[in-house]
Amino acid sequence: MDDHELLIRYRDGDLSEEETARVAERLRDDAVLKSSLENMDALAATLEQGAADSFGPFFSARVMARIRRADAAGPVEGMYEALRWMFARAVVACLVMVVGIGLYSAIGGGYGGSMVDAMLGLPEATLETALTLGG
Amino acid sequence: MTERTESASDRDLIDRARAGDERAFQDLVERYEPRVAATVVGMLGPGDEAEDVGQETFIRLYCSLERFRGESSLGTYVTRIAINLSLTALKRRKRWTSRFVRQDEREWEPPEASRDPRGEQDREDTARTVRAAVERLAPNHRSVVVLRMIDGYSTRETAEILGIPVGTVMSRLARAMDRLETDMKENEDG
Repeated sequence: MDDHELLIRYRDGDLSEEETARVAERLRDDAVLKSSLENMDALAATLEQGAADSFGPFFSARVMARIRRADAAGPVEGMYEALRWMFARAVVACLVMVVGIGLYSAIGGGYGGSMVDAMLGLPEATLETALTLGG
Repeated sequence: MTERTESASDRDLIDRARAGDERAFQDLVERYEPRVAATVVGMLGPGDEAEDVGQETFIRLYCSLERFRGESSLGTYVTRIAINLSLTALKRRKRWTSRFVRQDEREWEPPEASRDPRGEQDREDTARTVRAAVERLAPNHRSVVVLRMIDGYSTRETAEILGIPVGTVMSRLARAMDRLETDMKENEDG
């Protein structure tokens, strides 16, 4: 423990009885230590006296005005939240579109192929269409 | 409009603010403004930046009311927000200063003394010099000085607010006081 720490604890009354007596004795004989304690007292008093106790008139009203403005604006979304929101809606829209096309092809077109072919809008695979596609 | 609640406990005011009573939260702001001002102005010096950080402190408190469980006192909780925001502001200031301010412009000079009677002028000069010396301390030393010497928190409370061991608070405070003492002596000699 250096002298500054010792003096801080001495000022705080944070030393044992024995340690306190030892510091008090040193303070009687050691001019440097005594001067350090006086400087510390003076610094502490100046810092305490110079402490601000206000941000100026109507500070609380200014805080409340900012809170009201923030409340009125609603919560601000982060980029991640915004992207997640857009992606979820895009996925739902794609699914609706695929199911819609599939249903249209399967029901409206009198389609006889598989459901997957119908969803993808592929023509019914018959010997005739195979020969046509193969040239 | 709810009636003023000067004598209500922090707990009552928090409960009412949570229920949407604006007057209750404003009472909390008024109750803790002196403590937050001492912390923030002690860390950043007076000015618009300090006021902005002060407002932000209470806005953060408002947003975290639901999460406040009362494990520490509201005063300690608010001071912790204030000191963290002040440290962030100091980092921002340091980045800005290193980019845009020339090295020879960085030293803070106490403003000209006002035309007060001699004794008061001396006290003001000393206060300005101490203030300038505090501003030259490293942020982690400054926060300990502000909490311990200006706000009057105990070493244990300071450790709790800063989230560091008691021994670290003590060693930082000792080093900061040593530095301040040296600065003041140099100022007297020079």
